[in-house]
Amino acid sequence: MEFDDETLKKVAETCRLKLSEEEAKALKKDLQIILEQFKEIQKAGEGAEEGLHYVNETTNELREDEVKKKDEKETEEIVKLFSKKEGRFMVSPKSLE
Amino acid sequence: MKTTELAQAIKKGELTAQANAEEKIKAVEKNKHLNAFIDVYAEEALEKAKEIDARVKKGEETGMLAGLIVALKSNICIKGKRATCASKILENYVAPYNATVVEKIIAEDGIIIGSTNMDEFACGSAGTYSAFGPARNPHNPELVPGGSSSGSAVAVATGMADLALGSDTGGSIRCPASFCGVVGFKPTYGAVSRYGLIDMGMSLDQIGPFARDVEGAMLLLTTIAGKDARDQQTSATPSQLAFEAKKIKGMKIGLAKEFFEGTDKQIALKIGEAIQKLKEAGAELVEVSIPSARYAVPIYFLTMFAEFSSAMQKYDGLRYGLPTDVTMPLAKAVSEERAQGLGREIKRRIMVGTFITMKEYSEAWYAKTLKARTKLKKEFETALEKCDAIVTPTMPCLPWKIGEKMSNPVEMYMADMLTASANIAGIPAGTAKCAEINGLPVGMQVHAKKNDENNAFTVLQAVQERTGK
Repeated sequence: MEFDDETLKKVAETCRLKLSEEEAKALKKDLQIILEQFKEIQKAGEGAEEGLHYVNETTNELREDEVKKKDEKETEEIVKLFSKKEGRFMVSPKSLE
Repeated sequence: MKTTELAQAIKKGELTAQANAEEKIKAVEKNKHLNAFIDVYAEEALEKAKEIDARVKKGEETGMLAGLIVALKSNICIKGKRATCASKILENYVAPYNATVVEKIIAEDGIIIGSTNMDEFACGSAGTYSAFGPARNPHNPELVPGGSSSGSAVAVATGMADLALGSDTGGSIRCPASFCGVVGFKPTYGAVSRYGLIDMGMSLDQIGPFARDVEGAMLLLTTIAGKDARDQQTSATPSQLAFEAKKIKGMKIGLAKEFFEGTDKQIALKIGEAIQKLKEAGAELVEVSIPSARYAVPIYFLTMFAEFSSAMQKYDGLRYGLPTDVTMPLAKAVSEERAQGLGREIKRRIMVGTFITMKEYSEAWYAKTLKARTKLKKEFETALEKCDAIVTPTMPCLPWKIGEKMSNPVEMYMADMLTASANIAGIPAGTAKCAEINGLPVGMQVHAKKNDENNAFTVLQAVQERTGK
């Protein structure tokens, strides 16, 4: 199927991937091949009334609405993983320009 | 010696856990060229083995896995150890907690020897898409070992571990198990907790065992299965948790021709010969039909791409991933960080998954995929009402040379054509070696009804016994 440059750019922005020109060209070709090969999905579900959203019919089991005391050491282990931090806080780029 | 016999011998003190651990560590050294492991915990494994021996000597109670050496795929979190998913982006990620399966293995005195190589973020069927270099097939190191749980299969096949865990989203346990000639099993969706598994496809993923023999696979699955409040999809009944094989005589074995079309003729012939042996053992053969199996590859991949693109959103360089430049605006910073660390196959999958779930395109692609999935699942359920298990080849081809099937993205995807259906339908499926072609193992795959692992294990055990493999 035809997968144009404009669509590629929109998809890359949506999934937060910066692509070089060379990469964009290669991925565009890949996506065209994949979508062309898989376009038979259009007829694969003919006759099915509903789409499958849940593999198992389970009911969510809710927990008690109570605060559980957390082990501070666990929090320390997680904070260690932040690439940039100030104290216990993660430093992130600005989300509003 | 069967895995369960080894476990019993260690518990009784007839063999020592230390001797077992030393043997496995030697095997790891000897087989370095196969690149099965990303990290090896040799010293810790030996310490744990000595501790178990001391407890056995004192007559203390020990766990089901006491003294057995277990390898874990590098997408399963072990506290204090790297969980890299074979990706550059998680090269330095140290898990701050244990996965549920890890807690259970430790509680039963299993000895974890290391984290195994895999395809990056479980994206692959060869074992070659790893930032740590490809794993290699122990029967011929020029060939792929299968993926994505490549290292786990190689570890068990070469005696570097007694048991191993992998994860299976579309065949990632069964494919390498078949290519390496060991037993591999994907449980019912919901049988094993995914808490602590770094996810690929949330409605498809299951953790499952590798072993030399069916008894070993059952032992490990019994250890790790069960309800877990931290994974809402898990369920458990007492019968599920006691996995054991029954007798093959009188069982109805379903054969669906759709799984033989497109399979290598030599493989189909070998599977046919093995099926004959099951018939001679007293099984009854029943013809079933699963017409939608021909759409297994697009159904699986489109479902997985959508879920994978969601799973990958968390790698933004803030909580996980390579550090972002915090002086840039958020969207730009995250886009640049992700571009650096992720491989081409990963980007491909993220982009297709994003595309098919975008508002403009989701009706034409994602909604249709979900409907096709409903259809395939129902066809399996109908077929399994007529029989106790459905038998197929595990893989449509023999292992290929490392580096092949890389030019066309879909070429490798077709390797999952026989395994992906079980994940789509949420049913259990396992593989055991039933033959050889030119010295390379051939696996037979057995599917069963949801929560009916015992029927699958029964057939797999009969395959092992009857084909003498």
